[in-house]
Amino acid sequence: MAKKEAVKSADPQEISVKNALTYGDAATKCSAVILGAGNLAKKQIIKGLLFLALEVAFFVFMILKGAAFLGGLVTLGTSTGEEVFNETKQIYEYTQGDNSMLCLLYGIITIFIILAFVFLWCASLKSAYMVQLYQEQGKRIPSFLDDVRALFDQNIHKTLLALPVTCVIAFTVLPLVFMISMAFTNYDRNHQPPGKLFDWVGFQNFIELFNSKSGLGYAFMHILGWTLVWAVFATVLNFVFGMILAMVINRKDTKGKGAWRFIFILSIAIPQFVSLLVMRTMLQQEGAINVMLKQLGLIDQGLPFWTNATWARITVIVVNLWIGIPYTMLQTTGILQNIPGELYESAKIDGAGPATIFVKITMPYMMFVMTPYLITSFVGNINNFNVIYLLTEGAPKAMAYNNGTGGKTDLLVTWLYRLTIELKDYNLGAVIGILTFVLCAVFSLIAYRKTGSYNNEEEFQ
Amino acid sequence: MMKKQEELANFKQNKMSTRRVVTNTIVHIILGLLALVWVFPIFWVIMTSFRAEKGSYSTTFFRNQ
Repeated sequence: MAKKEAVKSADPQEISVKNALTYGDAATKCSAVILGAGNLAKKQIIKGLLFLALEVAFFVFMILKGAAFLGGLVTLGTSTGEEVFNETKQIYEYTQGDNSMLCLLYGIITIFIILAFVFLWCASLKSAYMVQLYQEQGKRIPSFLDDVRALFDQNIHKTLLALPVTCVIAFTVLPLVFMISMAFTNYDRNHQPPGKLFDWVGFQNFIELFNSKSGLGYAFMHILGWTLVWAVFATVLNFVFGMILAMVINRKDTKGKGAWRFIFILSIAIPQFVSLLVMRTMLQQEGAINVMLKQLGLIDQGLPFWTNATWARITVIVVNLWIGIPYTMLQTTGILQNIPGELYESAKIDGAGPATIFVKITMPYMMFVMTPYLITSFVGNINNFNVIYLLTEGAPKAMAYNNGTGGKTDLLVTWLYRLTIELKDYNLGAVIGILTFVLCAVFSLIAYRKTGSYNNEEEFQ
Repeated sequence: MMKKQEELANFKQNKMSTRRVVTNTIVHIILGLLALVWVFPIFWVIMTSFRAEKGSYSTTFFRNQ
Protein backbone atom coordinates (compact mmCIF):
# COMPACT_ATOMS: atom_id res chain seq x y z
CA MET A 1 0.00 0.00 0.00
CA ALA A 2 2.73 2.42 0.99
CA LYS A 3 4.70 1.40 -2.09
CA LYS A 4 1.73 2.06 -4.30
CA GLU A 5 1.33 5.52 -2.82
CA ALA A 6 5.02 6.20 -3.32
CA VAL A 7 4.70 5.18 -6.96
CA LYS A 8 1.66 7.38 -7.30
CA SER A 9 3.37 10.43 -5.89
CA ALA A 10 6.29 9.93 -8.29
CA ASP A 11 3.92 9.62 -11.26
CA PRO A 12 5.13 12.23 -13.75
CA GLN A 13 1.60 12.44 -15.15
CA GLU A 14 0.34 14.02 -11.95
CA ILE A 15 0.23 17.81 -12.07
CA SER A 16 2.01 19.09 -8.98
CA VAL A 17 4.58 21.69 -8.16
CA LYS A 18 7.16 19.01 -7.31
CA ASN A 19 6.66 17.23 -10.63
CA ALA A 20 6.81 20.50 -12.51
CA LEU A 21 10.20 21.22 -10.98
CA THR A 22 11.60 17.71 -11.54
CA TYR A 23 10.11 16.64 -14.87
CA GLY A 24 9.40 20.03 -16.42
CA ASP A 25 11.19 21.18 -19.54
CA ALA A 26 13.21 24.38 -19.71
CA ALA A 27 10.17 26.65 -20.21
CA THR A 28 8.26 25.03 -17.36
CA LYS A 29 11.19 25.36 -14.98
CA CYS A 30 11.62 28.92 -16.18
CA SER A 31 8.06 29.60 -14.91
CA ALA A 32 9.39 29.29 -11.38
CA VAL A 33 11.19 32.58 -11.92
CA ILE A 34 9.20 34.27 -14.65
CA LEU A 35 5.59 33.31 -14.02
CA GLY A 36 3.77 32.33 -17.17
CA ALA A 37 6.95 31.53 -19.16
CA GLY A 38 5.78 27.99 -19.73
CA ASN A 39 2.40 29.18 -20.98
CA LEU A 40 3.97 31.80 -23.23
CA ALA A 41 6.35 29.23 -24.77
CA LYS A 42 3.38 27.02 -25.66
CA LYS A 43 1.32 29.80 -27.26
CA GLN A 44 -1.01 30.40 -24.32
CA ILE A 45 -0.27 34.09 -24.69
CA ILE A 46 -3.08 35.68 -22.66
CA LYS A 47 -2.78 33.26 -19.75
CA GLY A 48 0.99 33.66 -19.68
CA LEU A 49 0.75 37.43 -19.83
CA LEU A 50 -1.79 37.40 -16.99
CA PHE A 51 0.57 35.43 -14.79
CA LEU A 52 3.41 37.74 -15.71
CA ALA A 53 1.38 40.88 -15.09
CA LEU A 54 0.35 39.64 -11.65
CA GLU A 55 3.96 38.84 -10.81
CA VAL A 56 5.10 42.28 -11.93
CA ALA A 57 2.29 43.89 -9.93
CA PHE A 58 3.31 41.91 -6.85
CA PHE A 59 6.95 42.90 -7.08
CA VAL A 60 6.14 46.55 -7.76
CA PHE A 61 3.90 46.53 -4.67
CA MET A 62 6.53 44.82 -2.57
CA ILE A 63 9.28 47.26 -3.59
CA LEU A 64 7.17 50.39 -3.26
CA LYS A 65 5.16 49.55 -0.12
CA GLY A 66 5.34 45.92 0.97
CA ALA A 67 8.92 45.92 2.24
CA ALA A 68 8.20 48.98 4.39
CA PHE A 69 4.99 47.36 5.66
CA LEU A 70 6.87 44.22 6.63
CA GLY A 71 9.46 46.32 8.42
CA GLY A 72 6.62 48.11 10.20
CA LEU A 73 5.17 44.78 11.24
CA VAL A 74 8.44 43.92 12.95
CA THR A 75 8.97 47.26 14.70
CA LEU A 76 5.29 48.37 14.98
CA GLY A 77 6.35 51.98 14.44
CA THR A 78 9.43 53.79 15.65
CA SER A 79 8.60 57.50 15.80
CA THR A 80 5.95 59.08 17.98
CA GLY A 81 4.25 62.31 16.99
CA GLU A 82 6.23 65.29 18.29
CA GLU A 83 6.16 69.04 18.47
CA VAL A 84 8.79 70.44 16.10
CA PHE A 85 9.67 74.10 15.86
CA ASN A 86 9.36 75.37 12.31
CA GLU A 87 12.02 78.09 11.82
CA THR A 88 10.52 79.64 8.73
CA LYS A 89 6.95 79.91 10.03
CA GLN A 90 8.06 80.54 13.63
CA ILE A 91 5.46 78.11 14.98
CA TYR A 92 5.39 74.67 16.56
CA GLU A 93 4.20 71.97 14.23
CA TYR A 94 3.14 68.49 15.07
CA THR A 95 4.78 65.70 13.12
CA GLN A 96 2.74 62.70 12.17
CA GLY A 97 4.14 59.79 14.15
CA ASP A 98 3.78 56.13 13.31
CA ASN A 99 0.45 54.49 14.05
CA SER A 100 1.22 51.08 15.53
CA MET A 101 -2.24 49.75 14.81
CA LEU A 102 -2.02 50.62 11.13
CA CYS A 103 1.52 49.19 11.00
CA LEU A 104 0.16 45.93 12.38
CA LEU A 105 -2.82 45.91 10.02
CA TYR A 106 -0.81 46.72 6.87
CA GLY A 107 1.88 44.23 7.86
CA ILE A 108 -0.70 41.47 8.16
CA ILE A 109 -2.30 42.44 4.85
CA THR A 110 1.17 42.26 3.24
CA ILE A 111 1.65 38.77 4.63
CA PHE A 112 -1.68 37.75 3.14
CA ILE A 113 -0.62 39.22 -0.22
CA ILE A 114 2.63 37.24 -0.05
CA LEU A 115 0.65 34.08 0.65
CA ALA A 116 -1.57 34.88 -2.32
CA PHE A 117 1.55 35.24 -4.45
CA VAL A 118 2.83 31.83 -3.30
CA PHE A 119 -0.53 30.42 -4.36
CA LEU A 120 -0.18 32.15 -7.73
CA TRP A 121 3.36 30.80 -8.10
CA CYS A 122 2.12 27.24 -7.53
CA ALA A 123 -0.76 27.79 -9.94
CA SER A 124 1.59 29.08 -12.62
CA LEU A 125 3.96 26.12 -12.27
CA LYS A 126 1.09 23.65 -12.38
CA SER A 127 -0.43 25.36 -15.38
CA ALA A 128 2.91 25.37 -17.21
CA TYR A 129 3.43 21.69 -16.47
CA MET A 130 -0.05 20.84 -17.60
CA VAL A 131 0.48 22.53 -20.96
CA GLN A 132 3.78 20.69 -21.29
CA LEU A 133 2.02 17.36 -20.69
CA TYR A 134 -0.67 18.28 -23.23
CA GLN A 135 2.01 18.99 -25.80
CA GLU A 136 3.92 15.77 -25.07
CA GLN A 137 0.74 13.73 -25.43
CA GLY A 138 -0.07 15.53 -28.67
CA LYS A 139 -3.38 16.92 -27.37
CA ARG A 140 -4.69 20.25 -28.53
CA ILE A 141 -3.53 23.00 -26.22
CA PRO A 142 -6.59 24.82 -24.86
CA SER A 143 -6.88 28.42 -25.90
CA PHE A 144 -7.73 31.21 -23.46
CA LEU A 145 -11.32 31.08 -24.65
CA ASP A 146 -11.42 27.35 -23.83
CA ASP A 147 -10.13 28.08 -20.35
CA VAL A 148 -12.79 30.72 -19.77
CA ARG A 149 -15.45 28.35 -21.09
CA ALA A 150 -14.17 25.63 -18.74
CA LEU A 151 -14.71 28.00 -15.81
CA PHE A 152 -18.44 27.77 -16.54
CA ASP A 153 -18.38 24.05 -17.21
CA GLN A 154 -16.10 21.50 -15.56
CA ASN A 155 -14.41 24.17 -13.44
CA ILE A 156 -17.65 25.81 -12.30
CA HIS A 157 -16.72 25.17 -8.66
CA LYS A 158 -13.78 27.54 -9.01
CA THR A 159 -15.98 30.30 -10.43
CA LEU A 160 -18.62 29.87 -7.76
CA LEU A 161 -16.20 29.62 -4.86
CA ALA A 162 -13.83 32.43 -5.87
CA LEU A 163 -15.94 35.25 -4.44
CA PRO A 164 -17.02 33.62 -1.18
CA VAL A 165 -13.50 32.38 -0.40
CA THR A 166 -12.00 35.80 -1.10
CA CYS A 167 -14.60 37.48 1.10
CA VAL A 168 -14.12 35.01 3.94
CA ILE A 169 -10.37 35.54 3.84
CA ALA A 170 -10.67 39.32 3.65
CA PHE A 171 -13.48 39.87 6.16
CA THR A 172 -13.15 36.94 8.56
CA VAL A 173 -9.70 35.38 8.51
CA LEU A 174 -7.75 38.62 8.19
CA PRO A 175 -9.52 40.43 11.06
CA LEU A 176 -9.17 37.29 13.17
CA VAL A 177 -5.42 37.17 12.59
CA PHE A 178 -5.29 40.89 13.35
CA MET A 179 -7.13 40.40 16.65
CA ILE A 180 -5.07 37.37 17.62
CA SER A 181 -1.83 39.21 16.96
CA MET A 182 -2.98 41.97 19.35
CA ALA A 183 -2.71 39.44 22.18
CA PHE A 184 1.05 39.48 21.73
CA THR A 185 1.44 43.27 21.96
CA ASN A 186 1.14 45.78 24.79
CA TYR A 187 -1.80 47.60 23.16
CA ASP A 188 -3.37 48.77 26.42
CA ARG A 189 -4.71 52.05 27.82
CA ASN A 190 -1.16 53.43 28.15
CA HIS A 191 -0.21 52.67 24.55
CA GLN A 192 -3.06 54.09 22.51
CA PRO A 193 -2.38 54.94 18.88
CA PRO A 194 -2.30 57.51 17.41
CA GLY A 195 0.17 59.41 19.55
CA LYS A 196 1.68 56.49 21.38
CA LEU A 197 3.26 53.33 20.06
CA PHE A 198 2.75 49.78 21.17
CA ASP A 199 5.17 46.94 20.64
CA TRP A 200 5.43 43.18 20.59
CA VAL A 201 5.73 41.65 24.04
CA GLY A 202 5.52 37.96 23.22
CA PHE A 203 3.63 35.83 25.73
CA GLN A 204 3.81 38.40 28.52
CA ASN A 205 0.05 39.03 28.51
CA PHE A 206 -0.65 35.32 28.84
CA ILE A 207 1.87 34.99 31.66
CA GLU A 208 0.33 37.97 33.45
CA LEU A 209 -3.17 36.55 33.09
CA PHE A 210 -2.13 33.17 34.48
CA ASN A 211 -0.14 34.64 37.35
CA SER A 212 -2.56 34.09 40.21
CA LYS A 213 -0.64 36.49 42.48
CA SER A 214 -1.46 39.58 40.41
CA GLY A 215 -4.89 41.18 40.59
CA LEU A 216 -5.40 40.35 36.94
CA GLY A 217 -4.61 36.66 37.35
CA TYR A 218 -6.82 36.48 40.43
CA ALA A 219 -9.66 38.11 38.55
CA PHE A 220 -9.19 35.81 35.57
CA MET A 221 -9.22 32.60 37.59
CA HIS A 222 -12.29 33.62 39.58
CA ILE A 223 -14.23 34.94 36.61
CA LEU A 224 -13.37 31.81 34.65
CA GLY A 225 -14.61 29.71 37.57
CA TRP A 226 -17.90 31.59 37.78
CA THR A 227 -18.28 31.43 33.99
CA LEU A 228 -18.08 27.63 34.11
CA VAL A 229 -20.41 27.38 37.12
CA TRP A 230 -22.88 29.69 35.40
CA ALA A 231 -22.70 27.79 32.12
CA VAL A 232 -23.31 24.44 33.82
CA PHE A 233 -26.20 25.71 35.95
CA ALA A 234 -27.81 27.77 33.21
CA THR A 235 -27.66 24.86 30.75
CA VAL A 236 -28.60 21.98 33.04
CA LEU A 237 -31.38 23.76 34.96
CA ASN A 238 -32.90 25.14 31.79
CA PHE A 239 -32.86 21.71 30.25
CA VAL A 240 -34.24 19.85 33.25
CA PHE A 241 -36.99 22.31 34.11
CA GLY A 242 -37.90 22.91 30.48
CA MET A 243 -38.23 19.16 29.97
CA ILE A 244 -40.32 18.70 33.11
CA LEU A 245 -42.59 21.57 32.07
CA ALA A 246 -43.00 20.12 28.59
CA MET A 247 -43.86 16.69 30.01
CA VAL A 248 -46.32 18.12 32.51
CA ILE A 249 -48.12 20.06 29.78
CA ASN A 250 -47.97 17.05 27.49
CA ARG A 251 -49.60 14.78 30.08
CA LYS A 252 -52.79 13.13 28.96
CA ASP A 253 -54.85 14.68 31.77
CA THR A 254 -53.64 18.26 31.49
CA LYS A 255 -56.38 20.53 30.27
CA GLY A 256 -55.81 23.41 27.86
CA LYS A 257 -52.43 22.33 26.52
CA GLY A 258 -52.37 25.05 23.87
CA ALA A 259 -53.18 27.79 26.38
CA TRP A 260 -50.36 26.76 28.73
CA ARG A 261 -47.87 26.61 25.89
CA PHE A 262 -49.01 30.01 24.69
CA ILE A 263 -48.49 31.58 28.12
CA PHE A 264 -44.98 30.24 28.49
CA ILE A 265 -43.95 31.04 24.94
CA LEU A 266 -45.22 34.60 25.36
CA SER A 267 -41.92 35.51 27.00
CA ILE A 268 -40.05 34.69 23.79
CA ALA A 269 -42.12 37.31 21.99
CA ILE A 270 -40.80 40.15 24.17
CA PRO A 271 -37.35 41.33 23.06
CA GLN A 272 -34.80 40.01 25.52
CA PHE A 273 -33.30 43.36 26.35
CA VAL A 274 -36.71 44.83 27.23
CA SER A 275 -37.67 42.00 29.56
CA LEU A 276 -34.19 41.87 31.08
CA LEU A 277 -34.07 45.59 31.79
CA VAL A 278 -37.57 45.42 33.29
CA MET A 279 -36.47 42.53 35.50
CA ARG A 280 -33.48 44.58 36.52
CA THR A 281 -35.57 47.52 37.70
CA MET A 282 -38.13 45.23 39.31
CA LEU A 283 -35.45 43.56 41.41
CA GLN A 284 -33.72 46.73 42.61
CA GLN A 285 -33.34 47.40 46.32
CA GLU A 286 -36.43 49.65 46.18
CA GLY A 287 -37.93 47.94 43.14
CA ALA A 288 -41.36 46.46 42.64
CA ILE A 289 -40.64 43.01 44.07
CA ASN A 290 -39.05 44.31 47.26
CA VAL A 291 -41.77 46.92 47.81
CA MET A 292 -44.47 44.33 47.28
CA LEU A 293 -42.85 41.90 49.70
CA LYS A 294 -42.53 44.70 52.23
CA GLN A 295 -46.18 45.69 51.86
CA LEU A 296 -47.18 42.08 52.38
CA GLY A 297 -45.13 42.22 55.58
CA LEU A 298 -42.88 39.32 54.63
CA ILE A 299 -39.62 41.28 54.93
CA ASP A 300 -38.46 44.43 56.71
CA GLN A 301 -35.62 45.37 54.42
CA GLY A 302 -35.29 44.99 50.67
CA LEU A 303 -33.65 41.80 49.56
CA PRO A 304 -30.14 42.46 48.14
CA PHE A 305 -30.86 40.96 44.71
CA TRP A 306 -28.08 42.83 42.91
CA THR A 307 -25.86 44.01 45.74
CA ASN A 308 -24.91 40.77 47.47
CA ALA A 309 -22.59 38.55 45.39
CA THR A 310 -24.32 35.24 46.15
CA TRP A 311 -27.81 36.73 45.80
CA ALA A 312 -26.84 38.32 42.50
CA ARG A 313 -25.43 35.06 41.14
CA ILE A 314 -28.53 33.09 42.08
CA THR A 315 -30.85 35.82 40.78
CA VAL A 316 -29.05 35.85 37.45
CA ILE A 317 -29.44 32.10 37.11
CA VAL A 318 -33.13 32.26 38.07
CA VAL A 319 -33.87 35.09 35.65
CA ASN A 320 -32.08 33.12 32.98
CA LEU A 321 -34.49 30.27 33.70
CA TRP A 322 -37.35 32.62 32.92
CA ILE A 323 -35.71 33.29 29.55
CA GLY A 324 -34.52 29.77 28.78
CA ILE A 325 -37.24 27.39 29.92
CA PRO A 326 -39.75 28.32 27.17
CA TYR A 327 -37.16 27.55 24.48
CA THR A 328 -36.39 24.14 25.97
CA MET A 329 -40.09 23.47 26.44
CA LEU A 330 -40.76 24.25 22.81
CA GLN A 331 -38.04 21.90 21.61
CA THR A 332 -38.79 19.03 23.95
CA THR A 333 -42.51 19.25 23.18
CA GLY A 334 -41.68 18.50 19.56
CA ILE A 335 -39.58 15.49 20.53
CA LEU A 336 -42.16 14.20 23.03
CA GLN A 337 -44.86 14.26 20.40
CA ASN A 338 -42.60 12.31 18.05
CA ILE A 339 -42.03 9.37 20.39
CA PRO A 340 -44.31 6.56 19.14
CA GLY A 341 -47.27 6.03 21.48
CA GLU A 342 -47.08 2.24 21.03
CA LEU A 343 -43.81 2.22 22.97
CA TYR A 344 -45.57 3.68 25.99
CA GLU A 345 -48.56 1.38 25.66
CA SER A 346 -46.50 -1.79 25.44
CA ALA A 347 -44.36 -0.61 28.35
CA LYS A 348 -47.51 -0.11 30.43
CA ILE A 349 -48.83 -3.56 29.51
CA ASP A 350 -45.50 -5.05 30.55
CA GLY A 351 -46.01 -3.38 33.92
CA ALA A 352 -43.47 -0.56 33.74
CA GLY A 353 -44.02 2.31 36.15
CA PRO A 354 -43.77 5.97 35.16
CA ALA A 355 -40.17 6.15 36.41
CA THR A 356 -39.05 3.17 34.31
CA ILE A 357 -40.88 4.52 31.27
CA PHE A 358 -39.14 7.85 31.69
CA VAL A 359 -35.67 6.36 32.11
CA LYS A 360 -35.98 3.68 29.41
CA ILE A 361 -38.04 5.42 26.72
CA THR A 362 -38.34 9.16 27.13
CA MET A 363 -34.79 9.95 28.25
CA PRO A 364 -32.91 8.01 25.53
CA TYR A 365 -35.06 9.58 22.82
CA MET A 366 -34.63 13.00 24.33
CA MET A 367 -30.89 12.78 24.84
CA PHE A 368 -30.25 11.53 21.34
CA VAL A 369 -31.79 14.63 19.85
CA MET A 370 -30.94 17.11 22.59
CA THR A 371 -27.24 16.47 23.26
CA PRO A 372 -25.94 18.54 20.35
CA TYR A 373 -28.36 21.26 21.43
CA LEU A 374 -27.08 21.02 25.00
CA ILE A 375 -23.50 21.43 23.80
CA THR A 376 -24.33 24.50 21.76
CA SER A 377 -26.34 25.99 24.60
CA PHE A 378 -23.45 25.34 27.02
CA VAL A 379 -21.07 27.17 24.71
CA GLY A 380 -23.72 29.85 24.17
CA ASN A 381 -24.01 30.27 27.94
CA ILE A 382 -20.24 30.65 28.35
CA ASN A 383 -20.61 33.58 25.96
CA ASN A 384 -23.99 34.74 27.29
CA PHE A 385 -23.34 38.44 27.08
CA ASN A 386 -26.96 39.64 26.96
CA VAL A 387 -28.29 38.22 30.18
CA ILE A 388 -25.36 39.19 32.38
CA TYR A 389 -24.64 42.59 30.91
CA LEU A 390 -28.25 43.76 30.82
CA LEU A 391 -29.07 42.44 34.27
CA THR A 392 -26.04 43.33 36.35
CA GLU A 393 -23.21 44.70 34.16
CA GLY A 394 -21.09 42.34 36.24
CA ALA A 395 -22.02 44.01 39.54
CA PRO A 396 -21.39 43.74 42.44
CA LYS A 397 -17.87 44.94 41.72
CA ALA A 398 -14.99 43.29 43.50
CA MET A 399 -11.90 45.31 44.34
CA ALA A 400 -9.76 42.18 44.33
CA TYR A 401 -10.70 41.62 40.67
CA ASN A 402 -7.99 43.67 38.98
CA ASN A 403 -8.78 46.88 40.92
CA GLY A 404 -12.51 46.61 40.45
CA THR A 405 -12.58 46.16 36.68
CA GLY A 406 -14.31 42.83 37.18
CA GLY A 407 -17.41 41.99 39.15
CA LYS A 408 -18.80 38.94 40.89
CA THR A 409 -21.30 38.09 38.18
CA ASP A 410 -19.01 38.96 35.27
CA LEU A 411 -18.51 36.29 32.64
CA LEU A 412 -15.34 36.26 30.57
CA VAL A 413 -17.17 37.99 27.71
CA THR A 414 -18.64 40.81 29.77
CA TRP A 415 -15.28 41.33 31.49
CA LEU A 416 -13.62 41.34 28.07
CA TYR A 417 -16.16 43.90 26.91
CA ARG A 418 -15.41 46.22 29.82
CA LEU A 419 -11.63 45.76 29.44
CA THR A 420 -11.74 46.70 25.76
CA ILE A 421 -14.60 49.16 25.37
CA GLU A 422 -14.33 51.05 28.66
CA LEU A 423 -10.71 50.57 29.68
CA LYS A 424 -9.08 50.19 26.22
CA ASP A 425 -6.92 47.23 27.22
CA TYR A 426 -7.13 45.61 23.81
CA ASN A 427 -4.24 43.24 24.47
CA LEU A 428 -6.00 41.68 27.46
CA GLY A 429 -9.23 41.54 25.49
CA ALA A 430 -7.49 39.62 22.73
CA VAL A 431 -5.91 37.18 25.19
CA ILE A 432 -9.23 36.52 26.93
CA GLY A 433 -10.92 36.13 23.55
CA ILE A 434 -8.38 33.53 22.48
CA LEU A 435 -8.70 31.64 25.76
CA THR A 436 -12.51 31.68 25.56
CA PHE A 437 -12.31 30.35 22.04
CA VAL A 438 -9.93 27.56 23.09
CA LEU A 439 -12.23 26.67 25.98
CA CYS A 440 -15.35 26.51 23.82
CA ALA A 441 -13.65 24.71 20.94
CA VAL A 442 -12.03 22.03 23.08
CA PHE A 443 -15.18 21.42 25.10
CA SER A 444 -17.53 21.20 22.13
CA LEU A 445 -15.19 18.99 20.09
CA ILE A 446 -14.72 16.48 22.90
CA ALA A 447 -18.36 16.51 23.96
CA TYR A 448 -19.77 16.34 20.44
CA ARG A 449 -17.57 13.42 19.38
CA LYS A 450 -18.87 11.43 22.34
CA THR A 451 -22.56 11.92 21.56
CA GLY A 452 -24.79 9.24 20.14
CA SER A 453 -25.95 11.50 17.35
CA TYR A 454 -22.37 11.71 16.08
CA ASN A 455 -21.34 8.10 16.62
CA ASN A 456 -24.47 6.09 15.70
CA GLU A 457 -26.21 8.23 13.19
CA GLU A 458 -27.99 5.17 11.82
CA GLU A 459 -29.42 3.92 15.08
CA PHE A 460 -32.12 6.54 15.52
CA GLN A 461 -35.43 5.43 14.13
CA MET B 1 -68.72 -13.01 47.39
CA MET B 2 -69.17 -11.58 43.92
CA LYS B 3 -70.67 -8.44 45.39
CA LYS B 4 -67.77 -7.96 47.72
CA GLN B 5 -65.30 -8.27 44.90
CA GLU B 6 -67.23 -5.76 42.85
CA GLU B 7 -67.30 -3.39 45.76
CA LEU B 8 -63.58 -3.79 46.22
CA ALA B 9 -62.96 -3.07 42.56
CA ASN B 10 -65.25 -0.08 42.72
CA PHE B 11 -63.50 1.15 45.82
CA LYS B 12 -60.13 0.74 44.13
CA GLN B 13 -61.35 2.58 41.07
CA ASN B 14 -62.77 5.35 43.21
CA LYS B 15 -59.51 5.61 45.08
CA MET B 16 -57.63 5.73 41.78
CA SER B 17 -59.89 8.41 40.36
CA THR B 18 -59.76 10.58 43.50
CA ARG B 19 -55.97 10.30 43.42
CA ARG B 20 -56.04 11.29 39.78
CA VAL B 21 -58.24 14.27 40.52
CA VAL B 22 -55.93 15.35 43.32
CA THR B 23 -52.78 15.09 41.16
CA ASN B 24 -54.53 16.86 38.32
CA THR B 25 -55.54 19.72 40.58
CA ILE B 26 -52.05 20.02 42.00
CA VAL B 27 -50.52 20.00 38.52
CA HIS B 28 -52.90 22.67 37.31
CA ILE B 29 -52.30 24.84 40.36
CA ILE B 30 -48.52 24.60 39.90
CA LEU B 31 -48.88 25.38 36.20
CA GLY B 32 -51.07 28.36 37.08
CA LEU B 33 -48.49 29.71 39.55
CA LEU B 34 -45.70 29.27 37.00
CA ALA B 35 -47.81 30.98 34.38
CA LEU B 36 -48.28 33.93 36.74
CA VAL B 37 -44.51 34.17 37.20
CA TRP B 38 -44.05 34.09 33.44
CA VAL B 39 -46.73 36.61 32.64
CA PHE B 40 -45.95 39.04 35.45
CA PRO B 41 -42.92 40.77 33.83
CA ILE B 42 -44.74 40.93 30.50
CA PHE B 43 -47.77 42.45 32.17
CA TRP B 44 -45.38 44.88 33.87
CA VAL B 45 -43.91 45.89 30.49
CA ILE B 46 -47.38 46.54 29.13
CA MET B 47 -48.42 48.53 32.20
CA THR B 48 -45.23 50.60 31.99
CA SER B 49 -46.10 51.60 28.47
CA PHE B 50 -49.40 53.11 29.64
CA ARG B 51 -47.95 54.97 32.58
CA ALA B 52 -47.91 58.74 32.73
CA GLU B 53 -44.63 58.94 34.68
CA LYS B 54 -41.43 58.77 32.72
CA GLY B 55 -39.07 55.84 33.01
CA SER B 56 -39.66 52.26 34.00
CA TYR B 57 -38.58 52.73 37.61
CA SER B 58 -41.85 52.43 39.43
CA THR B 59 -43.18 50.52 42.38
CA THR B 60 -46.89 50.42 41.70
CA PHE B 61 -48.97 48.80 39.03
CA PHE B 62 -51.47 51.54 38.37
CA ARG B 63 -51.13 55.28 38.09
CA ASN B 64 -50.18 57.18 41.19
CA GLN B 65 -52.88 59.63 42.18
